[in-house]
Amino acid sequence: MSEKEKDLVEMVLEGNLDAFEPLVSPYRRILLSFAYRMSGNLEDAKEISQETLMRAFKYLKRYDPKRSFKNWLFQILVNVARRFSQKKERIQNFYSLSQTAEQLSPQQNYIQKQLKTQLLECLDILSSREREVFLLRDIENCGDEESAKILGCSSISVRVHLSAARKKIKERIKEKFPYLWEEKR
Amino acid sequence: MNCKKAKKKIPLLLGKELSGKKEERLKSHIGRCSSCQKEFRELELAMAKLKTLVQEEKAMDWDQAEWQTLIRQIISQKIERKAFPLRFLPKLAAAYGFAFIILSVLFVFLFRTIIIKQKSIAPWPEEILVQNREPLLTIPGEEKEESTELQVMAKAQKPLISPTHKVQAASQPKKAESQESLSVTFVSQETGLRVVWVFNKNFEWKENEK
Repeated sequence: MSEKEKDLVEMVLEGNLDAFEPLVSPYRRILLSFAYRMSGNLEDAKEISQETLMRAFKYLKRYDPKRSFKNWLFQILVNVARRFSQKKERIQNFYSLSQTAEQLSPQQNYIQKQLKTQLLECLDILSSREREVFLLRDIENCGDEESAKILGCSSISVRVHLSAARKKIKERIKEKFPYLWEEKR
Repeated sequence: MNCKKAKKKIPLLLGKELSGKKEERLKSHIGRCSSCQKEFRELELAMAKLKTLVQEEKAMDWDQAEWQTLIRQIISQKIERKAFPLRFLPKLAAAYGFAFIILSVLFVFLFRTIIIKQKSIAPWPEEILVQNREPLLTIPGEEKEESTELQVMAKAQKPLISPTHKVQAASQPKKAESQESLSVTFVSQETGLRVVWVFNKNFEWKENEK
């Protein structure tokens, strides 16, 4: 954690609430992108990021200055995203009888597909835990131990999921971009 | 290392998640095995492609107005003070309860010998205690203080006899002034049987039973 961040955290805790904006501002894009890659939906991503920032503000007193502030934010975000997806699943199960993906109009389907980036299509193949591990390790470049801490699991578990995720991603990219392999040959 | 094991570990070679020895062994295997080499190259290629996809992805960002509203909204909520989180209470209560039980068991275990000893030392029958108030083995002409000292000594010796034999003993002078005779009474705690030994001047004794 940088000295500047330390000072900002102290300022917020002392009651200077305006210091919160410069504290979290450098991470606003990272958090939103991470949430987007986790949820695959911009609206959900915004909701998750918002909840993350709210919690970060509320529980700033519990933050350990020895840790990286970014990783602490990621830890909150992962927890929020997990709860969010559980909640969403429950709601979807509740409404599953009334509306399914097949029942969407072709136009809606097309719009949804257009909104999805190629990266998200590659990530779609991963399970939620594999996606978390992959995003942290390979996209955000977090260390083994730090990823384990963020996800609340062991570093062995991180490695196992990471290995599986990389294999799946390789298969998906091979399938989506076959020309890459042709060029190579 | 065989191909099956190597293929399992190849994905971890990309991020250098393997330890030095394992990495070396895997690398030497890849150098020899063309199929594993192909697997490794494909993975490298896939990861490189993914990284370009990440860079190509349109950077997500908040709309400035939206961001400002969000920050204002966040700041308006109450920041957590050092209040005790209630959700930890049941866990804490359980922990304290558990600790209390363990400490009580330990306490009983450590001090049980003392408790048992105290229980086994029965109180002296009142009659004997009354008798002991009189000076023991008083010799005419001697001062009273010495006799009380002897009495204390006699009392101190009594518990040594009682726990082992379940019989309490007390020495009692019949006629303290003349010291014609000396009696010793044994009382059984269990049966109430009382045995009195009476000694004369020459320590010849006769036994009475009550």
